[in-house]
Amino acid sequence: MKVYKLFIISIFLCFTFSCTEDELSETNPFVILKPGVEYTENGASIPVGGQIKFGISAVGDGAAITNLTVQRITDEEVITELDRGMYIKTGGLDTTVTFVKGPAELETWRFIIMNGHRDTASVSAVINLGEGSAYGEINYFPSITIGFQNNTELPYYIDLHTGNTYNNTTVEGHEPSIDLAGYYYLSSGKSSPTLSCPGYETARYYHPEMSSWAVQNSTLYDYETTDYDLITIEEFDAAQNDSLLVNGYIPGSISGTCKYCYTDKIVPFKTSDGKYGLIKVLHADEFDTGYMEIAVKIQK
Amino acid sequence: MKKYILIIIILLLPFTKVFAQSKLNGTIYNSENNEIISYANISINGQASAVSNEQGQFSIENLKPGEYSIIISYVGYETLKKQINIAESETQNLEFNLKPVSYLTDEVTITATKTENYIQDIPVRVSLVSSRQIENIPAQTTDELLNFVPGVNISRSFGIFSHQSRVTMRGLNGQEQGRVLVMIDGIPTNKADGGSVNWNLMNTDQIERIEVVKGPGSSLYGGNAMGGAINIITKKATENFQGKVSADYGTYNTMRGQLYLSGKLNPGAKKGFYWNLNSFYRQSDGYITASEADQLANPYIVESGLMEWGTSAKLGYDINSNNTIELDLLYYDDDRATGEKVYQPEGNNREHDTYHVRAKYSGYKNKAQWNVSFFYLNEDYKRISEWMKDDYTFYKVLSNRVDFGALSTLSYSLNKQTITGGIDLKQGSVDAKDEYYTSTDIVYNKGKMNTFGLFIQDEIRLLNDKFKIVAGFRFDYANFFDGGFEIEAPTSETTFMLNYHNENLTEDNWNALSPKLSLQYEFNNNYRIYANYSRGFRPAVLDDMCRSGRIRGGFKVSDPSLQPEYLNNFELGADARLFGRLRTSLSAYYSLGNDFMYYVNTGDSIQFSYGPRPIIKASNISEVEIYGFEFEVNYRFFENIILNTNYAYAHSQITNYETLSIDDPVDLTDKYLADVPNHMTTATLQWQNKFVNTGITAKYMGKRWVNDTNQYDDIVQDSQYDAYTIMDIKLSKSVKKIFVSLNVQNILDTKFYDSKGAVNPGRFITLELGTRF
Repeated sequence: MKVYKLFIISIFLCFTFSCTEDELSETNPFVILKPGVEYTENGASIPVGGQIKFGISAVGDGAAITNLTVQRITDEEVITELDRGMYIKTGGLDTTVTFVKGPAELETWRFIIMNGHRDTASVSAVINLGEGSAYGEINYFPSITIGFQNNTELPYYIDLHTGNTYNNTTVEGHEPSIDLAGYYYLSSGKSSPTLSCPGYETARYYHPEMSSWAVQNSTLYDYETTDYDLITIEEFDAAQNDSLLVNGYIPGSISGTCKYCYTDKIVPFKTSDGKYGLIKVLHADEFDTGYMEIAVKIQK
Repeated sequence: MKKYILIIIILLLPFTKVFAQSKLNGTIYNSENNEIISYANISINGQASAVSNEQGQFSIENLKPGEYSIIISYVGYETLKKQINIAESETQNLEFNLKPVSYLTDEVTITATKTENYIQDIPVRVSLVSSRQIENIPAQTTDELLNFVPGVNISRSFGIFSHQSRVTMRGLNGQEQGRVLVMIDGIPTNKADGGSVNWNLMNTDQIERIEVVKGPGSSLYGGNAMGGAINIITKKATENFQGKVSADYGTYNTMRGQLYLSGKLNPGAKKGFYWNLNSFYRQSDGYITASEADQLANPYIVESGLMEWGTSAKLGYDINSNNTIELDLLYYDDDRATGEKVYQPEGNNREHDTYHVRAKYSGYKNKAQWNVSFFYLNEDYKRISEWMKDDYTFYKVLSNRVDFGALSTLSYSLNKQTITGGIDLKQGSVDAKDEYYTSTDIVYNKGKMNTFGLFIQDEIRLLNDKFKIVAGFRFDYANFFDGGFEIEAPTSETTFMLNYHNENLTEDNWNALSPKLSLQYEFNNNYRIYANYSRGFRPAVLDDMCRSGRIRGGFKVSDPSLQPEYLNNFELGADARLFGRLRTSLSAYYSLGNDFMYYVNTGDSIQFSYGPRPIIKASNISEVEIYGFEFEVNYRFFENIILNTNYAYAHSQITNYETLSIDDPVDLTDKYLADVPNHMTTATLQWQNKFVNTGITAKYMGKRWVNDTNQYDDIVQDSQYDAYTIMDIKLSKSVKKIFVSLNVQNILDTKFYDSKGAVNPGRFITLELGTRF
């Protein structure tokens, strides 16, 4: 009789335990724009090229906050300026984002957060177009040279704000200011000269020393403008203020790595502290002991 | 559905009762030298009842008074049949003497023809993994039991930690399970979604034997049986209540518990219920599979641990001595970490929650035999993927894969021929979604495939059974429908796929004809030759027909109009038994494949977050030439020492590759198929003795091409994987009902790497302690 019981219990356990499913209850995440003089207030008028700054505070209602999306909505279009995955389990989200006012008369800025249950919340602010232009000054570094991963002579890392370069020895103490690392991306498909940054995981494969850096900045490159040559060399050379730097950057096609950076490519970027810029590739070797020479224009 | 099954089982059980009456004890000897014969199979009235122990003894209890037909069989001996009469409360002690056979081999197989035949009577190459080998081979999983079958290529990079394994043979690509059919008790287990098989489902304890039929078997089984067919035969119920409980512990803090119970509720009777139950649980901390470079670059690399458990139950009812119905239930669940953890509690992992229900009615009357089976295989595949690159990405894949159908076979024996025919109906489906949690995207794909198959076969015996002809063909018709690929709330993660959003993919259908003709001449009981031609096919998988998405090398676009690929195989074989104890076999084959499916550039590109990548799709574009041979030697030094060694050579090359675009830089013409070793050789030594039973195995795996283009791979740092040799050993000892077993896989701690630079587990040791009752 024990055998029968064992048999029945086993079958029962098998079919009982197999019925478990993750069930998600509905949650109500919450997001607000932080008040304060340091932030752009709802209804403000900002001239084209002027900085817009928002403070965002959000809670996930018991679930981790997993996404922040910022949209710029005009009569013409909806542009996703930021779409960032994250995982903030406790304490909520508290962050500041900066953008640049576009030419539209009225922009509605929409801030959407999502939590781990895929529940969302949003808040909006309206920004009007102010008079005049606020495009700012730029720094220009006409020639910076870095080596690829197996180049033993040239430096590897660049501080884009100053144009300074560093190798694995000289970088000590300067890690928090490094924005760019280059390497020759190796693939059984198509290998290519590549721009990347300390915050991008694959870059640390080529430059393992970055793995131990306490600060690993993430610079975002616009690969679509790069791949399709949407900015010409002539436009780069002619840029005297940050208008082209800001408007040439397409926020929907950005990554911490930018492959296929061949000679004469123009690469828009945005640093982790919000500075827009352009890189012109003056020379790029196509082997892993080679080097890249670039020119950089970046917001002051 | 599950509740109904449970209720039926519970309702059926009270109709049974247990008798405790007479007893039969037996000892089995070799009639020529009086050596004992261990592990012989004993059946009473057609039902498997016992297996002799290491001392050649067996015992069957609770017999009712009456007349019984005893059948005793063992490899290398003529089957012994004996009638006995047993009185009430009587205990009979009998000796049985088996005569060594002069046949090439006397193993019986059912897979090659769907009728019972001795292996040497079938004009194809069949390999058998016997219960004795299963007992002695140091294997942790079902597929590893096939490691020593000539020409079989197993791809299980991470040992027990692999969430997937692929078993192919005879020069077919080692990364594609869909070209070899895998069955459990004759029921197909390749899923229509991807052609894959979950080799982790079963515990080796529940396997009686495995039959491997080399070369196309589509004339009987239809799709997937292109390179061969593997049939895993589960253990039958024992006449009396028997069981085994064991636990093992080993490398990487791996622990496992196993339970096997079996019995018959009315022993000795012609009708009544029989049953068995098998459960196992295994967990392990695992190890880091990632390459050292990846570990440096990725701070989120962790061990790939595992937890898995499974339960299977068989409940059968002998209606009378001619008719049986049987129900098999299997449930399996696992949770395998895949070596990266950012925020999720278990990191990246995969689960395969699986139900498998098989119901069979079989019987015979006069010269007719029939078999009708129904099956339902449900797999809920769940995958958690998370990583940190530009930002945090976390999404889940939830894929429900269902395959069900009805299979029927009817055989009728005339004087010198047996005609077999049948009808199969199957449906495979997938309903899947990729649900993002760090963005709003959800990507759905779904599709269904109905298959109808009709087959007939004739086995003709001529010239006093010396000459045998097996001829047959099968017609398959399939229909793809209810396909869709949809994207909801796309962001930059999936926007690039929007061009391929299609709620109603075009329906399509195809058919396939699979003939075979086999001839054999048996000179005498020691020599035979055979020749055969057969055609096999592999249907396109639903994943290629209804799912678009990123794959390695580009963006894959679905194509519902994909047609099957075919393989025409010509084979010659010979077997010889020399000096009484030496058995040799040689098979040579030449195969031509056409309409082979490969991922081909369409000429277009798509913009990913890391730059433009080529758009590719599976297409029937290649012709393939495969040839090779297998040579096997089996030598029985003594009754208890058996040496088996084999060598397999395979040459697999693409002979014609048609591009879809003139701009496609890839041309695979004259390239060799990836993941196919040219040379494989294995050796196994089984030594059963009164001290410590020993099983030693060795396998040499030759070089394999890393990719289809045969180009240098920067991760592997070569165009070919290195050759390697693996040695395993199993030592086991029984003392009365207690047994202990030491299992060492990869004694030499050989390291080998996969295409991502991930490494195998190295030396893997487990110690098992258990009891049989």
